[in-house]
Amino acid sequence: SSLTTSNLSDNKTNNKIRIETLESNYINNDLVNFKVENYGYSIGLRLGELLSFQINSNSLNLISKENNNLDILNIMKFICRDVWKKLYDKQMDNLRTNHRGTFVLIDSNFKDLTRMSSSKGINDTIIKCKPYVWFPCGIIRGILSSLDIDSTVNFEITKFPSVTFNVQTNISG
Amino acid sequence: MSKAVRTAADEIWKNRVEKINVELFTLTYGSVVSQLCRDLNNNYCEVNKQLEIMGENIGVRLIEDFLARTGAGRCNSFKETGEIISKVGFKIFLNIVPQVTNWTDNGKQFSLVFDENPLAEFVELPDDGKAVKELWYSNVLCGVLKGALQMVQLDVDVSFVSDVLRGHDQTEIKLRLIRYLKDEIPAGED
Repeated sequence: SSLTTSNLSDNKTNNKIRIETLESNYINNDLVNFKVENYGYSIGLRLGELLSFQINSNSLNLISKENNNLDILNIMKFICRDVWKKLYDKQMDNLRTNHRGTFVLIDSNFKDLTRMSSSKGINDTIIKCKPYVWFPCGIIRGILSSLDIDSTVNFEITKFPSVTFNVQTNISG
Repeated sequence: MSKAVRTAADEIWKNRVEKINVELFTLTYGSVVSQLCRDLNNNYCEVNKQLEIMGENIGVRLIEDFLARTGAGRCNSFKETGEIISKVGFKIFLNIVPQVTNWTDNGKQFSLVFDENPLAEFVELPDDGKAVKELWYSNVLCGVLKGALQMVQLDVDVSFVSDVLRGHDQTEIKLRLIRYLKDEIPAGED
């Protein structure tokens, strides 16, 4: 793998540094994606525990009052608000659910991607930034796992740098 | 001079550096190290080596960022380099100021002693009896220093002396100046 010159231009007026995307044979390599997802997962697992300590549990309401089960919708809100705020200094922009265990979380300006750019254009940028997005996917799966919820998380990037996370759980709520 | 440097570094840290959540940073580094240990079958000497290489790759790029943010000029002595590494470098990137100490008489070797180490927060070394003897958990720092200094023409040997994670009293990195590198002129431009 090789890194093309980084920090290509520093536009002084808005102080935005654009990072040239990585040129590498490992882009879209399943093993790499798997590992990156795993980094995220192990962080999510620990972060989930840490945050449940740090954040006042009264305001969390992760457990539903009616039936004493985990309240999956509140857990998703917890990820969208508290976790995302902690990690990316902003909240998720949108949360949707079909009330049958599928959740769609949208970050319309995902921080890790905002500065990436490929000289070959936007389609190339999207292809090359994808390995990085497995990281937050892993974090989401890890957080859910720390609350004993199995899930699969994948993502779509249709309008860069907006990322749509699709979370599939086996719990309906 | 020292005080002016500190205030300037404070100002840079406060206003000109983007911050990242420390838990995310710590846990991310932790999962990198643990994945390396898995990949290399707990061959900790090899893990140290890989961490140093990763650090060097960071360092050779980070120095540009450092120079751009600080506008620092050339240091007059290795002594000054030590002060700048601690009071400016570590301050603006990790918000810590390690002590600069244990200077040798010839002024070519010193130690950085860390009262706190954000990389090693929440960390325990594996309980296999081997890691406490072989693994330098934060070895990426050695690589970063080595790589960054190399880009400003200082060939420096950087290594851990002790680490609280291993049960030592303090965390200490030793830097020894080997030689000043000559500005290399690209081939074919004589």
